[in-house]
Amino acid sequence: MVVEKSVSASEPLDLIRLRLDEHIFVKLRGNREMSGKLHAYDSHCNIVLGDAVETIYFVEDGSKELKSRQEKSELVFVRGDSVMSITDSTNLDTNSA
Amino acid sequence: MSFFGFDPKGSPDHQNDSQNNKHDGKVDIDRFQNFEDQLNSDDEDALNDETFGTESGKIGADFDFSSGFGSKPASSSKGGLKAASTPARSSNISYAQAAHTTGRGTENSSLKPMESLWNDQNQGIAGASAPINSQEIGNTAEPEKKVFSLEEIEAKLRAQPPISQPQMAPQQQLPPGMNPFMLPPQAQQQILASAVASGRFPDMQTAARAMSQMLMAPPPPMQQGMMPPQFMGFPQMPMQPMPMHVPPIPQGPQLQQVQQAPQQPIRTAPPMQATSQPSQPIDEAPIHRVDQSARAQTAEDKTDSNSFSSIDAVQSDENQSQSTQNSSSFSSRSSPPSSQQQQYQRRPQHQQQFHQSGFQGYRGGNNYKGHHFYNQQQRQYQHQQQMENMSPEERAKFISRQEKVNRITRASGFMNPRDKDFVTRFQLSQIVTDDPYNEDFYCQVYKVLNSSVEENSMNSLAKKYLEQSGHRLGGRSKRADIALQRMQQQVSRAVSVAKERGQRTGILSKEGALGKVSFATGRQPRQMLVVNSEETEKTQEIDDDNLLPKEYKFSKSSRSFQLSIIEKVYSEVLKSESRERENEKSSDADLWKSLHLNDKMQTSTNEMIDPFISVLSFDKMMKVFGRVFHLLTAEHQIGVVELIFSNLQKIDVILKGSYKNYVQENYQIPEEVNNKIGLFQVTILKSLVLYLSESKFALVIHFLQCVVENNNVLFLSTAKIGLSLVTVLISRLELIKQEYAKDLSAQDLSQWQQIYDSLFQCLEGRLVSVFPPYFSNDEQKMVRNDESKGDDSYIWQFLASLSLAGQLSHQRVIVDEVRNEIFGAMGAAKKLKEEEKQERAEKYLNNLNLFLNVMGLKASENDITELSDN
Repeated sequence: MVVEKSVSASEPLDLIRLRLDEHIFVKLRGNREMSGKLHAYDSHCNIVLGDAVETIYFVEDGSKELKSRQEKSELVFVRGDSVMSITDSTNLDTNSA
Repeated sequence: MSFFGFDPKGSPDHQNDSQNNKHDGKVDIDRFQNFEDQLNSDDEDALNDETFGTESGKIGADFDFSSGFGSKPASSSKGGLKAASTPARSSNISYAQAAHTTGRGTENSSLKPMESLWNDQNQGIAGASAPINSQEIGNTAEPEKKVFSLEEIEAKLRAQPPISQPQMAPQQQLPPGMNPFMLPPQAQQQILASAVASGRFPDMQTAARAMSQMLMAPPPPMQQGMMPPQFMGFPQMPMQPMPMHVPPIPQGPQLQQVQQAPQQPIRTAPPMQATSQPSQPIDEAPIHRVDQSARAQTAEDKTDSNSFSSIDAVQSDENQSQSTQNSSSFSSRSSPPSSQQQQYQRRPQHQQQFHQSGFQGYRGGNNYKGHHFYNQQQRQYQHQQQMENMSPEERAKFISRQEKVNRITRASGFMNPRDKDFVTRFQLSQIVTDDPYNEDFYCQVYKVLNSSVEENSMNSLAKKYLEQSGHRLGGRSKRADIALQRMQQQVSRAVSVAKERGQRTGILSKEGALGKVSFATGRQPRQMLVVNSEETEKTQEIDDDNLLPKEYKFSKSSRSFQLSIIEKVYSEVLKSESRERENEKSSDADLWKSLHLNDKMQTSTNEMIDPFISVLSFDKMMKVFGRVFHLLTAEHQIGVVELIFSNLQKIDVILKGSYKNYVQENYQIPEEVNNKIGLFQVTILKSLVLYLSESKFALVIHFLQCVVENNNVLFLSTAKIGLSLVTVLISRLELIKQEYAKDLSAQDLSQWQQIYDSLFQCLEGRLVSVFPPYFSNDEQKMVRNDESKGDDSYIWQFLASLSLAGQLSHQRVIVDEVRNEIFGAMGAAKKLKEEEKQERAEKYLNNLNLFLNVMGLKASENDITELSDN
């Protein structure tokens, strides 16, 4: 017998809290994205990511093609003011798949 | 100067004077204290309450971290000034005295009473090295050390009064002339006087110029108070001379104002400056003119050792007697009043102005810069004096030294003691918490790890703070312990107020209010509002489904739900651990509830699964498992373990860890799963093994029963974790059986036999499946992949424990079934030995022998022999 009782998040940052120690996907200002394991965050959305992969999108001069390059870092601090969105990277995978 | 031993009471002349229009110095001291009290009053410091509560209104007056001396505010300000103020005080006198003496020409008669105060040594030096700065006297150190020697002197001076009587001024305890530390300023005066007298300086003007070379150039009287920029060690602050331009606010009798009135027009102040400090309510001068005789009585016991008061006293004397001349110079108490008028007139104007502006700058309120500047000037002047007696090398050395000192002290003195205390209080209020384990967790842990002796936390906090905030602790002053005590008091007061405030704010939060007033802690800066989350939580429980927007609800099957369970578990664990640290009794009810152990949820494949089992697939849940398990009651621990064993095949690491899942991938287990398996082993498996190793026989049987009845044992045996857990159960049972056979009832043993049989039945005939192909050495199923390099000992351990628990017939079945693997392993070992890979070959054989030894056999790479006893 399944009782559909839900669990709630009382404040927005709780959604980030749920993702602690999980792989997350972070959209950043400056055409950057990052994915990695969420180690820590604070109320400013400063986050610390482990095994992070940063993807930087850019358009080279003279071409219209969107290119990207990736940078990896074992542990990275992301300042909150550049964070645009944070999502569970597993959600992202299932969406794209 | 009372501070340096010129006890006003000691001079009969002065006693007479005070009958007339002279002030008793002590009266002024009294005033000065009032002034300080006003300065330190709570009205001025709005945040005092914030830190120490309203009850501790007096804290402002005796908040003193800057030194260990005295509890009076005056001495507090002294503490902060320690180094800087002393030269100023001493040399003040010297100017006055010097001017006084030169005014009298070569005749030193006015100083003669003073000479009796000095001992022979000092006089000898004074006579010998006439122009030398007085600070050397009584302390025949070389000139370079002068600045510090004076500090030391003052430190000693201040150490004189017993702590129990901090209000006692040194000059009261020590009659004039008896205290050697009081001598230098006077000696200085005499030297300077005699320097002029002896003809080193042709006349008074030259002497004055020499003395004031670093001071301002003689300005017209109307510029009085403006600091000469060329002598500043730092950019001049326009505010410095301010207070003296501000018309004194009439606090004393108006009469005095009238007397001062003629001076006012001369001190033309830029209006901007005058208005920029309109709130400076205190001007010392008028206060001093309050009827002194009324106060004289009380002043006696209120006397403070702060020298400013006495300087002020002198100054106000002069203001009174010579207000029309716009000269506020300094007089010596010992000088006959009749000669004063003459002296003042002869004294170089700029000196007087300088002194006046310097002191008024200070007196005018918190403007310390003026005073600071003044001190600098004084010091520079003294150095100038010293330099004149030096050889060129010495001088170069001295100059470079002075530059260094100036660089270091460039910004010193900008904050007055109150400013410092204010900052201290703020810092203190940030580092103090009544809940150290939750707010300073890592600090506390660090402390526990790094200190063998548990210190008084208050004490260590104060010590730490004093060490790091640059407050001078120990060092020259021996009063460190007192500073520490005071600090502790302040800390404990701050803590108790913080606690109270917490309660108060709790009361303050009213129903229906948007929020409550909050207060700041070190970790949480002050917020304007705290949304009362407890209330919302309560309402949520009641009306959960209706109140929340849909997007805030997590479906039970969702990942978010699982994650939220884990977060809830974490917060409960933290709460319980906090209670545990404080030795509070706590129940694990909340934690138990947060585990959702008796809940069921539906997976995407419509399978029913316990939420608890499902969250075990998360790394963070595995990591916290040990802590959760530790906090649970014995009953609940059984519940958890039972649930785990009943649902073994649903646990992620077993479900995904079985090699059967990866037939198509060459039995290659994904790295991600392998990582999880590794983590499970060091977290949950470890906890379980630990728990089982202390469990009773019947309980272990029960767990094994759960495994056998609820799971597909064959499937479990294809996963490393599953096989390991079964191995643990069997070997534990067999261990108890062999060691404590007497204690076991026949019923237990028969039950064990029964369960073993059913377990064996599950595996019989398919026992080979415990060997993943990548570990197998059977030619027919052997597969090689990355896993093959792993450790296969767990398989042999399983076989070993299975045979150990079984009868001979069981062992025969086992050996028969895995025969190919046994010989395969031997063959592999042989092959490795031929390849000179001894180590790996040994490993193969050792693992094999784990199993074979149980049956009394021993394998080498060539054959299997009976295990010999030796």
